[in-house]
Amino acid sequence: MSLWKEFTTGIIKENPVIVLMIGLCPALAVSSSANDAFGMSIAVLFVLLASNIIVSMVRNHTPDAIRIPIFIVIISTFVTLVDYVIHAFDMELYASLGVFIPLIVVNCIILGRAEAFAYKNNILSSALDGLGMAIGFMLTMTILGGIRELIGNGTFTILNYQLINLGENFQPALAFIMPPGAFLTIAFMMAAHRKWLKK
Amino acid sequence: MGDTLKLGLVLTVICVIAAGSLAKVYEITKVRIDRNMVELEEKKRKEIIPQAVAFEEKKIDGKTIFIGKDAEGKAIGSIFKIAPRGYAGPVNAMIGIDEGGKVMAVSITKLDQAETPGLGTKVTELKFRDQFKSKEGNDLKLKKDGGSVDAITAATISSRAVANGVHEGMEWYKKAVASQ
Repeated sequence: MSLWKEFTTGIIKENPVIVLMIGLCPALAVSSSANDAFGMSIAVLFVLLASNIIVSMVRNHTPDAIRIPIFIVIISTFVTLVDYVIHAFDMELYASLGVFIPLIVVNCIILGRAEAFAYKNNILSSALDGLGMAIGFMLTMTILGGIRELIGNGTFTILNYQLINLGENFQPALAFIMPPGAFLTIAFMMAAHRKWLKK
Repeated sequence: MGDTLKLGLVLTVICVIAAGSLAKVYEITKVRIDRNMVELEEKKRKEIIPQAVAFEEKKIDGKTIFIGKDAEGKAIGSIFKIAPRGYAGPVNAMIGIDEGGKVMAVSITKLDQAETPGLGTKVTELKFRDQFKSKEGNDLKLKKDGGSVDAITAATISSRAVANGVHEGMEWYKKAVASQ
C-alpha cells in the first residue's frame, strides 16, 4: 500500500511542478506546444527513473559531504547516455526529442528527487517515486502545453499528430505562446489544483 | 587529512566509472549515429529533388554542393547548405535550385535550428517553406522587404533570416557557377 503511495504522491499530492514548484524553468520554457511538452517529459522520465535507481543503489557508499557532486556526475552521465542511445537507435524520436535532452541536466526535479528521496530510500521506492514524479511532470506539462497551444496557436498536437485544429478563422492569442502566457496558465493551474485538493 | 583523501578517492572512482561507461557507449553508438546522419542527409536530398536517381558531390568556391541527376545522367538541380543567423543561432537549412535558377525546395528540420519554440520554429513547417518553391531573385525576400514571402506572425526575425539566407545562397550559387 505504501509503495502505491510513493507512486501516486508525485502525480497529485506532491506534483513536482504545481505543488513542489521545482523544475519551473523547463516547464515554462518548453510548454509552448503540447507536442514539445510531452516530448520533454518523456526524456525526463528516462533520466529521472534511471538516476533515482542509481542514486539509491550507491547511497550507502556516498559520503554526505560530497553527495551533490556525485549526483551531478550520475545525472549528467545519464543524460548523455540517453542522448547517444536515442540518437543511435531511433532517429525519428531523436528528431523530436533531441533539442530537449541537453536541457534535462538543468532540470532540478531530477537533482531534487535524488537528494530528497532516492538518497534516503531503497531502490524499489526510489524507482516508483521517480516514475510517479515523471508522470506528474508529464501530465502537468501536457495540460499546460495543450492550453497554451490551443489558445495561442489554435491547434493541439501530440507525438506529431495534430488532434485539434481550430482553423484559419480562429484568431490565436499569441501572448499565450510567449512567456507571459506560460506564467498565466501555470498560475491558473496551481489555483485550480489547490481548490481541488482542499475539497 | 585522511577524510579529504577518502572523499577525493570516492569521487575519483565515481568519475572514472562515469567516464568509462560514457566512452564505451560513445564508441558503440558513434558508428550508428554517423550512419544515421549520413542517411538523414541523403533523405533530405531525396526530398528536395525527388526525381533524381543519383547525386554527384562537387566543390565550388569552397562549398560542397550536390548535383542531382536523372536516369540519363542529366543534371536536374543542385543542393547546397546555408546557415543564416536566426533569432537564436544559425538556421542550418538545405536548399535545392533547378537548372533554370529557381528554388526547388528549402529543407529545415527541427534539429537544424534553435529558434523560439512555438514561434520561430514554424520556419520548419511546410506552410512556410513551400512559399519559396519556383521563386527566384527578389521574390525570395519577405513581403516587408519587397519580396513575396509571407513572414510568420511574431517571428519576423526567424522568417527574415531564412528568406535572406535563401536569397543570398541563390545569388552566391549563380556567381559561383558563372565564374567556373
